[in-house]
Amino acid sequence: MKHTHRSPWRDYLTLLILPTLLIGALALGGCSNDSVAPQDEVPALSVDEVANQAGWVAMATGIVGPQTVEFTAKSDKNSYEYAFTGNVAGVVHLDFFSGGAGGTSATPSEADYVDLYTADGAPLVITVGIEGLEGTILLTFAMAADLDRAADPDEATINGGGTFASGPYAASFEFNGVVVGNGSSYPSAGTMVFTGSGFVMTVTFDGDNTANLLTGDGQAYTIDLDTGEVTEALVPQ
Amino acid sequence: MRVFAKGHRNRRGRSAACLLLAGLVCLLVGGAERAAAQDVEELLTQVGEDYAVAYSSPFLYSFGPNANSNMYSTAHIPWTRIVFGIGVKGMTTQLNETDQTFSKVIENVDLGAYDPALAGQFGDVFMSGPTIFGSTSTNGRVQGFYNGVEVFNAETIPGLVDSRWSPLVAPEAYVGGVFGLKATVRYLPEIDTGSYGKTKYFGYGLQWNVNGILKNLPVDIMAGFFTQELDVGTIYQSEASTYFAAVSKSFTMLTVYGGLAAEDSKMDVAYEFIHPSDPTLNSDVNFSIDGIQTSRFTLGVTLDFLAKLNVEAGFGNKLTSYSAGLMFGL
Repeated sequence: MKHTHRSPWRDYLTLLILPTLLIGALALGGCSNDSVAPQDEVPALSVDEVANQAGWVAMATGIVGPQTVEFTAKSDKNSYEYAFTGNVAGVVHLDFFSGGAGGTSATPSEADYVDLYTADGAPLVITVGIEGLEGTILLTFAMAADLDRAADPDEATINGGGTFASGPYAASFEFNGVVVGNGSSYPSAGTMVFTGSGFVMTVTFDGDNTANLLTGDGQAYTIDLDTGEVTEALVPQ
Repeated sequence: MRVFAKGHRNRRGRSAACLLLAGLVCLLVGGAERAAAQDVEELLTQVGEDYAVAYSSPFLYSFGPNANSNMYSTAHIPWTRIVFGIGVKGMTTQLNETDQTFSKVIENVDLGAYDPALAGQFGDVFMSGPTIFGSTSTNGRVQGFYNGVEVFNAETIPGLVDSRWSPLVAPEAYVGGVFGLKATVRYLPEIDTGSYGKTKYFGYGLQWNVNGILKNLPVDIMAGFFTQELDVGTIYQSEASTYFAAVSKSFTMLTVYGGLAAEDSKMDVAYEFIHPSDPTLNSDVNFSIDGIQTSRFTLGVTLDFLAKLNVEAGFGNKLTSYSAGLMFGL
C-alpha cells in the first residue's frame, strides 16, 4: 500500500484560505447590496412653475384676506370661523381683539386686530382646473391683521404668512402690509414674498385685478387675481 | 388613467405569491401556486409598464443572482467512480433597505398617455410607493404635475410581501464520475395555474474536473456551465446562465471551495393592463429586463456527513447572495 507523508501545516494553511478570502471579499464588496429599485427625486421646478404656484396663492389671498375686515357675527365669542366654498374651500378661524395684538377679546365690530388662521391639519383647498383637469393645492394661513374701522370702507393691513403644498412640492409665503378693504377682492397695497423650490419672488398688490410678480433674478410676471393665471411680462414692472 | 386602483390581497396570499414569484417554493408549501399566480397577476393588471418595471425591480434583478447560486459544492469529480445525488438548494439575496420602496419620475411627458383627457398637456409624472417586497398595507401613488401644480393623484397597489429577502428554492440532482464529468439538473414538473398558465422550471449544466489530466495538484479544479428557465404562469418568463471555474480542498468531512463565474439573466414580463372603468383602454403590457449581475466570486464550505450540506456566499459585481444545499447520494 502506497503511503505518502505530508506535513500537516499545509492542510492548516489551506484551511486558512477560506476565512482569509471571506474577509477579503467582505472588505472589498461588503455585505450590503446596492439599491436596484429606482429612487428618483421629485422633478425640480423651473422659475416659471414656481411663479405659477405664487399666482395661485395671490389669487387665494384676494379671497381669504378680505374676511379679516368683512367678517361679521352677532354673538360674542372668543373665536369665530368662516367657511369658504368654491375654488378656495375650507374653514378659517378668526380671533378678534381690541387694543391690538395681545389685547382683549372683542367682537368683530369692536375689534382693531384679528388673527385669521387655518386649523392644524385642515388647510384650505384650491381646486385647480387646467383644461378640464383637476388638481389640488393645500394652503395654510396665519394672518395677523390690524383693522382700521375709521377708513371708508373699513380696511385691514395684513402681515403673517402661510404655506403652500401641491403633491410633493412645498413653499411658504409672508405678507408684508397687504391692505384689503371691505367689499373689494383685490388688495390695494402691500407685498407677498413667496419662497419655494429654491426661488424667492415678490408679489406686489396695487388694487386692481392684477398683481406684479418679480423674481430674485429680475424676471417679471403678471398675475390675474381672478383666475391665478400667471403670464410673463416683457418688461419688469 | 393607466395607473391606479387599490389592490386588496390578504397577507397570507401575498406571502404565498412571493414564494411562487421567488421561484419554486410552491412545491414545498403545496397548493399555493394558483392563489400566488392570481395575486401577482391581479396586482400587476392594475398598473402600466413604467410602474410595473419599478415595482418589480427588486425581484427582477435578484432572480438572476439567486438562480446562478450554489452551482457546486466541491470541485472534486471522480474520473473512474460513479457519483450521484439528489437534494434541494436554497438561495437568497438580501435587498438593500431602500429597495422596499421606489420612486420613479417621467419628465416632460404627454399626460394623455395616462389619461386621454389630458392629451396635449406635457408635464411630469411621479410614481412612488412600495415595491413588490415592500409594505403590504401601504398603497403606491401616481401623481401628475403641470406647471408646478398637481393635476392628478391616483392610488395604486401595495407590496406583495414585506421582506428584505428575495428567496429561491430549487430541487437538484446530479450524476457523474466518468472522465471527470458531472451533469446537473434542476427541475420542477409543470404546475397548471388555470387561466394564468403553467409554472415550470428546468435547468441543466455540465462540470468537468481537470485533475485527471493535471495530476498532483494540491487542490481540485473544475469548470462548468449551467443554464435554466423559470416561467411563472403567463406573467414572468426568465432565463439565467452561468459559466464558472472553481477550486476546492477536502479535509476528512469538510471541503472548502471557491470560484469565479460569469453570468447573465433575463426576464420577460407580459400581462394585460385592465383599466378600472374604461375597457377600451385595456392594453397588453410586454417588457424585458436584463439582469444587472455579470460576475461573481464564490466562497463556500461543505460538510460531508451522511449527506452533503453546503453553505456559500456569492459576492457578485452587483449583489451578494447566500445559499445552502442539502444533497443525498454518493
